[in-house]
Amino acid sequence: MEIGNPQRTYTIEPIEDPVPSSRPEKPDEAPLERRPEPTKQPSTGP
Amino acid sequence: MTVAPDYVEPVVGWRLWYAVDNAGETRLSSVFHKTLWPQNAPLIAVCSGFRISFWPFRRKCHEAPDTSCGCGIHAANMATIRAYLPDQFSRSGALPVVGRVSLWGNVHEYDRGWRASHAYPERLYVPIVELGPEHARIIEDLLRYGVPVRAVGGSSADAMIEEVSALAAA
Repeated sequence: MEIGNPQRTYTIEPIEDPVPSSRPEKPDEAPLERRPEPTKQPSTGP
Repeated sequence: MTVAPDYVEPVVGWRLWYAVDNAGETRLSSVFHKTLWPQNAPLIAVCSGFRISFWPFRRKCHEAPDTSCGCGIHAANMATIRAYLPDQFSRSGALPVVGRVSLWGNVHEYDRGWRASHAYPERLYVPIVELGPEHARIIEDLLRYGVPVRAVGGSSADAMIEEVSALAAA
């Protein structure tokens, strides 16, 4: 990957581990959730 | 004597991966090397050295990244990532995944990106052309990295980058 010209070098020791310890239970959004089927409303007759 | 680090927060850049099948499970793979990114452990850079099949010597082994070499785990700004995306995503073939990646350890900063010794995905965006069971399974598998995974519109690279940029800025 072409990332240009070198600028500087440094060291990083994160205080918090960047590797998460637990897994998200579901996707960030809900695009995968199936939309609920429309429920039929009981017709209210005249 | 230990040397104090310069910083204590990881750098976060952008990356492009492929979602590939590995023994029935989707994993992130580097684009230019066939490196599979581990789950729940950092990817640690190793310089594969300079190899020519008919040349009997290898360049001296060194820690990655090194100033004399292009090795290390790469990340870049969004404009650079866009240049490596196909204009149109297809329903078949390798699925590109765009995401933010945390970088730490020894870091070499460039004007459009970084090379680092340690990395782990921070957030993933998966372009979905047409949602089906296969894409749902891919996203489910990528959740094993323990980071947020979000499906985004996959009609074109420009549309995807626009959506991802808006989400990242929100």
